Amino acid sequence: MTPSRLAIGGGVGGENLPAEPRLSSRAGTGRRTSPILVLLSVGAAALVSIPLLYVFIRALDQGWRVYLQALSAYDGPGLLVRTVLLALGVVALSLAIAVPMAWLVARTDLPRRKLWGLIGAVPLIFPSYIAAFTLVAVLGPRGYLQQALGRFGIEALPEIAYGYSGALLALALFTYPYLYLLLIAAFRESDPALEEASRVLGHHGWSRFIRVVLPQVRPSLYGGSLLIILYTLSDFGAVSIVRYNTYTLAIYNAYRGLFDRTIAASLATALILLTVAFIAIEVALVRRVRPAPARPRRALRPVPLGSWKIPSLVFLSAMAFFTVAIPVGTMLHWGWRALEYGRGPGVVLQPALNSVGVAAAAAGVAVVLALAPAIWSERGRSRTAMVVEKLAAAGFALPGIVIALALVVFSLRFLPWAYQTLALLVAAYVIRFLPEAIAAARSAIAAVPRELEEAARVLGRSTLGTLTAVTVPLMRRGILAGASLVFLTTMKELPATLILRPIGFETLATRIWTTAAEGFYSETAAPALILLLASALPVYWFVIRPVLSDRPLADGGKR
Amino acid sequence: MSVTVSDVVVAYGDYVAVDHVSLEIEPRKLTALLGPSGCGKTSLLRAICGLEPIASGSIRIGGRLVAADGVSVAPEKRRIGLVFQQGALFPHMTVWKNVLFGLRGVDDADERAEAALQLVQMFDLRRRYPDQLSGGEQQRVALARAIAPSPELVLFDEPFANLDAALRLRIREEVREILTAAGITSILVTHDQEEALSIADIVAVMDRGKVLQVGPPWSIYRQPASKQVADFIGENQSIGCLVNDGVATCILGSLRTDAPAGRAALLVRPEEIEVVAAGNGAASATLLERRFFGHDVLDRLELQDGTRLQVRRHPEESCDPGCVIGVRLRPGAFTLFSEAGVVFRARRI
Repeated sequence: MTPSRLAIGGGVGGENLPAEPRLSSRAGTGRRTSPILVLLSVGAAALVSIPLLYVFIRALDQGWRVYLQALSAYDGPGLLVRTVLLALGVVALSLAIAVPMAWLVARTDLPRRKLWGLIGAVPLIFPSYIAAFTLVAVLGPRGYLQQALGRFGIEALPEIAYGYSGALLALALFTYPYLYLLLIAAFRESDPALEEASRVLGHHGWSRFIRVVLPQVRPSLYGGSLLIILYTLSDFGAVSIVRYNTYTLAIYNAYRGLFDRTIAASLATALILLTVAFIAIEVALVRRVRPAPARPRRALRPVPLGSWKIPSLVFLSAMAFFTVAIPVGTMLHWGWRALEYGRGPGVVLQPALNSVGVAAAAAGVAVVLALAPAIWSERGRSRTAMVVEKLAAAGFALPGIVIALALVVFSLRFLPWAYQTLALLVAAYVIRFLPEAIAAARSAIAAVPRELEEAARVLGRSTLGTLTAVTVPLMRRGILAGASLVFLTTMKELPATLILRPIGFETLATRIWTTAAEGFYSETAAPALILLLASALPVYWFVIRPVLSDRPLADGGKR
Repeated sequence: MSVTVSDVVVAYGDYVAVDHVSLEIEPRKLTALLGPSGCGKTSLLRAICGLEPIASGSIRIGGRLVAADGVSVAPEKRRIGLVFQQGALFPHMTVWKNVLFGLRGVDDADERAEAALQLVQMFDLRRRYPDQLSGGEQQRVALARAIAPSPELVLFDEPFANLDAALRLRIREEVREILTAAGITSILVTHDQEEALSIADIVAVMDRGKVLQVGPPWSIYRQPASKQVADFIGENQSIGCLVNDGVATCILGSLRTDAPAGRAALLVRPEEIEVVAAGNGAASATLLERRFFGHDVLDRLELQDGTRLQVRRHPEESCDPGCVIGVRLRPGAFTLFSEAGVVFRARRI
């Protein structure tokens, strides 16, 4: 023991001694990790990252000149501008919706806060192509609004359902809940003493909100904004239905229309770089946030709305009308029309079975692949383990269409037999959604006391025997949650499915997209309703409920 | 089965938790590792289990080398039992499955699990899950699980710390009886000196990664090997004495000693002071306050020179605060620290 350590020791009574070091540093040194675990983790990371790296190799196949040509030839600069403008517009509109909504639900004496909190999160269950379909059905030419106004002699509406405005509305109105849920949690965590201090210092109302309340939730503002940007960058369903040409749509068209995959691959690299740039900006912004010093906090007292109560309720009701009532009503209406035409839901049986089949396969594979990197990074805590885990989770940030394209060019070059097989489709899903399974598995492992594993070791089990007899069985819930999330997101996945599905293979998502794009709304309704019913419960259970029931809203008490 | 720990170092990065410790654990006895939190006792226990790698030194269990430079027998191959602070029962298994867990591949697994559960009187609750058991019941099952595979060494990591006081006393007596009856060598890690002194055969006092003293409880208490041990064990108080020609003269009486001439400090436990009538050649003291413990009282006294002392007495014997009484040392052996901090024995004259 070094003298400096002794000096910390202080009295023999022990109060001044450094806390039992094993908790903090036990994991740091000297523990051996099972080589099998390392091998499996590296394998999972390789599965994810190698095809993506290959996109760059493929794009640069014919040298830099051809690459740059490919980028600019296909309206490259215009694509970049349109994509960035859409991402920024969607974030701005989402912030305008989510900030007041989350604050009302988290911090005020709004009547029936819990119900409003739930309603605000409902749009999360609509995939972007269903949102866009609803928008076109309501606002498009011969849409409900046009029909209603036609009676008053108004013939032509401005085409807000298509182009930039359509994409903006379809994405912002249905992705704002990502920001909203993060902000609810953050508003609840914010420190009432800071607000009291600002009030004593003479700041009221807006000034206090802008200068004290919002800065406290900056990490959630940045994180939620990044989620929405990533969602917008990777969106294919909405932009393709409202015909707004962004990178994803351009990649799809280049892939479908041109035999030369170099252009598609080049555009994909541009989209990857754009995604990385936005992530870097978010990381830089979050890094500048200084953490508040930890200190005991008192209960948050709900802010009385007073005369703002009615306007608040009007705002929330209007949002609920546009984001919940209209989409559901539209689909029910077209579903009813389909029944009238004599088309029962039977025609979507095969797509539904296909969707369930590939989603179940993806969920199963993802959950198994997630185990090793999750266990290694959580229990090993080494730098290498973290890097490998991050690599395995890289698919999270990447658009489905890029992953699909990566698998196409990779398989055509190295595994030609796999092209156009269901295996490749499932591989794309796994790459895209593995991060969800890893995150779920990690938190599940973190909840298993290490002592239980040690008890198993001492009772005669090897490292792997302990994993199978104790750790994994105790992770059941978390693994199930991860599987459900992967299952659900796979059911909704569109662009990778469109590109990688074997000929003639239809899922609910592709059926909804093709019928909506062609205007056969009565055929869109049935698969859309089935998809919504299938996803409503898991989304509620795994995404919405954890945030809303984190703490009872009514008492506003702190943990 | 004996355990030999030789010159063992356990380190976490720069932090040395166990610092060149050597220790001999005697077979069929209960040895307590006693020390404040952070003293390295748990790290040493975990190193013996094989849950913590050692940086240097060696560990032998029953003569078999299990850890040394280049040798590291996996925990599952050491044939030891371990009982954790909160039992660490597998929550997804019944009591029965928990006990069977360590008996995989054993022919008479069912019989042995039953015997272990009968021993701790938990056989009737074998179909319950751990969350359906009280804290004491969980610890009994943890003990059954640890001893079912018939290990020759069982280790306990603060096993009673999470039980309430009355239950703690009962469970630890039961555990002590079971271990004695089965003749199992065991090591108990604890920061509770009363626990260590009352149920262990041998106590090893640890502080800051070092073993300070090893011996039977009475010698740890009555003959601490150093000021550190004396400070840690029991209510420590000392009075100043003057040694001259083999006799230490203190305010509470005179003692014969080998200590060199000069000033010295006499270690006096609260129960080593006798209260007599005031005057009578005894030192007179004023009662400041009393603390009532039921079975006895602790009186805080002030001597005429301002020295404050605690005296343990029978509840009936005490007088009210403010009264003046006489105090002196009880007859017997005492521990004296010379000015240089060297330990000497002393006997009251």
